[in-house]
Amino acid sequence: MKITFPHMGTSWIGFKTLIEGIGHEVVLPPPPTKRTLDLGTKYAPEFACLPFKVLLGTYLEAIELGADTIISSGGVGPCRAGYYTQLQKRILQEQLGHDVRVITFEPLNRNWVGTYRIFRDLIRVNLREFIGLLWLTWQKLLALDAIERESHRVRPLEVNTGSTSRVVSKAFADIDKADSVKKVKDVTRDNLEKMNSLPQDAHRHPLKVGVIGEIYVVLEPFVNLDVVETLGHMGVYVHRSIFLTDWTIENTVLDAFRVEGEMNIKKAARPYLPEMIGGHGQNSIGETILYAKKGYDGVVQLAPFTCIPEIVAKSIIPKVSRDYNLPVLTLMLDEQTGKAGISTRLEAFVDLLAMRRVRLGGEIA
Amino acid sequence: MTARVGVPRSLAYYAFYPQWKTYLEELGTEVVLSPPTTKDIIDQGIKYTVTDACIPIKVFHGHVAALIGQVDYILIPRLVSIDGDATLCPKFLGLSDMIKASIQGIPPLLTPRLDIRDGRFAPMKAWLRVAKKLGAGRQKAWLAYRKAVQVGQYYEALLANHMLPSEAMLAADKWRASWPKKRPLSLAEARSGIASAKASKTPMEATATSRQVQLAVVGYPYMLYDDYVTCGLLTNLKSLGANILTPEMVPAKCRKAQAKKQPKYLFWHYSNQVIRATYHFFEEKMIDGLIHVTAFGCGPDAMVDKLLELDCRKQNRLPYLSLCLDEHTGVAGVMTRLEAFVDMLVRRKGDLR
Repeated sequence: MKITFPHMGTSWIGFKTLIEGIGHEVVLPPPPTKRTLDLGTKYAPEFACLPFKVLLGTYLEAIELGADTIISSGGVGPCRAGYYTQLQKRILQEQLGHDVRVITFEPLNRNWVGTYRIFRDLIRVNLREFIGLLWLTWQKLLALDAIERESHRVRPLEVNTGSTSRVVSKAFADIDKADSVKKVKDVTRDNLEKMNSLPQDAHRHPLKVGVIGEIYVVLEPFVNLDVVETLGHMGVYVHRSIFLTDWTIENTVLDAFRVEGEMNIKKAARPYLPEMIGGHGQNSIGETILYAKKGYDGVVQLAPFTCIPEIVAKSIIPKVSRDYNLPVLTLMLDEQTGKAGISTRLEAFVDLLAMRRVRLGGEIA
Repeated sequence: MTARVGVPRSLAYYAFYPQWKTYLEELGTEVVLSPPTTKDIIDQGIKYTVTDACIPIKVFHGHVAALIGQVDYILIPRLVSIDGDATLCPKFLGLSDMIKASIQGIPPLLTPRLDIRDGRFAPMKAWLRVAKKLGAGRQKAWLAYRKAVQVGQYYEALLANHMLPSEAMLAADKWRASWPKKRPLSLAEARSGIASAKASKTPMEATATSRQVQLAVVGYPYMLYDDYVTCGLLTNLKSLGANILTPEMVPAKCRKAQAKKQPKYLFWHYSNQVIRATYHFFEEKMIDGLIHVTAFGCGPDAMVDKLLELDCRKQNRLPYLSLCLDEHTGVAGVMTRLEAFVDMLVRRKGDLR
């Protein structure tokens, strides 16, 4: 089988290892481009959210490259993401006539048997090797997140603009090439050291901004038009609220044992939104409050246009923002959004935050 | 002084108002309904909501604003799950929280959390807590609840018998007025005295008789039956010669029977109802065409709309019109599209004969 999967940030490095390891050919999902989005927009429903369109475009491009199987995740709602593959499958098969198999992983605790059947079908190695592979994949995902996290800290301090990003992309390539847990750990350590030894300006006190919102637009730089990196280059320390490994533990692993994750966030959100409304709606509110309590200077909310949970969050956030005196900028992203427009709005927001900090008696450089 | 409880005339109102009204009035409170949607109400709603919200949410905010100053409480139940296998749209789940965050100076809200997945009696418990807040005794509340449920079932039966919500609400009131008589009014009794229901045999039949097509108009009740938002869609279609079917006219049992045709249930109650009703129309070969009424930027409908489109294609390319409405929709534009669609259906029907 020639397998492809959604492109989400850097996670492809991990998934590639896993799928190749269990004995299949991987058709790497091409990083989304303008063409991906155009393809997706053409066949997706008009008001489907941006991730739906990008994923559909990605699948179409992967099919052009020869993929015959798509692996993706399901869900239980009420966010639409859980129904993506159902509809994408029908669009690909019925409307466009592609002969392609779509495999959906539903949440474990509701579907142990189904998940086991999928694995039995896919895996061409013995259990021991498979567990080893899972461990290697997990280590790679952890390493990728560690590199990104560190880059968010170093980037606003760097003396030569762009030097951090160069180390980051080298680190990703190294992790991709590593074929054992030991090598993954070695290259990660080396690259983290390299990043730390970059010329840095220790006198800066960068603004601290939290980035919240829907997981796909937060994790995929093409979709959020490099918000995190752009902010970094403006000299802002960015704390991204979502990392894939954290999210997996809090939601997939704990959920499999029917334990509710992210309790601190949900507890914080309760006075404003006591109901779990799907997606990351409740998280967006809870995280805004936690950022306020940790003394951040501002928050950027990222959401795809027509995203239902984030619209609810966006309606409530102004009140949170007033109550906690924390500026929040909401960016609704769709296929019409341009990078220049986003940069302008971010610049203005960062200027405001800087003035606000000085007015409150703080300093920046 | 009796407490006045306001009910916004939007969203769940179309499905549950008779039930809520019965309950609240039996508790001894006065129920105040917001006026029918007008331009003013929509403008107020737009003022209070974020731009990304869909038109029903904007309309709802407008209705809540219209109640300010006239009532002591506003009833906005948190409808989580009605049928057990799906929740409602996330905007329903966070509705009262959005209202609280966006509109200042509103009276206290009554927000019973109705989630049938918490157990069969969970909704009842939630309603009993409302009664406690309103200061009514437990026994009174329990009797009121029982009555409310009966009225609610009667109302649903009337809808399934092709009555419009506005007429069925009047009929439900009439039955309640003659309460000690346990037997529900027959359909003829329910209809008598309601002017619009008398005019034709069933209210949804075409008023123009020269040519007739069978048309299903599907969508969420709060879109379909809000005459201002849809620019009088149902009336206009009738005058164009269409006999109309809506999802509420399919008995709940028949809708449920269609569920097995869905490979995976949608996550939203009303979306499931729309899809299942449509499958029922397909199976019974009841319709010549399908109109899907949807709101600009409606999240669940992005999925439903495409599913319906693909399903119509499978039904021997059944004509399908997706009508997307927002606060800028004008009656002329909608009429032009409806005329063209009905003309096409009439011609196609002739060809098929």
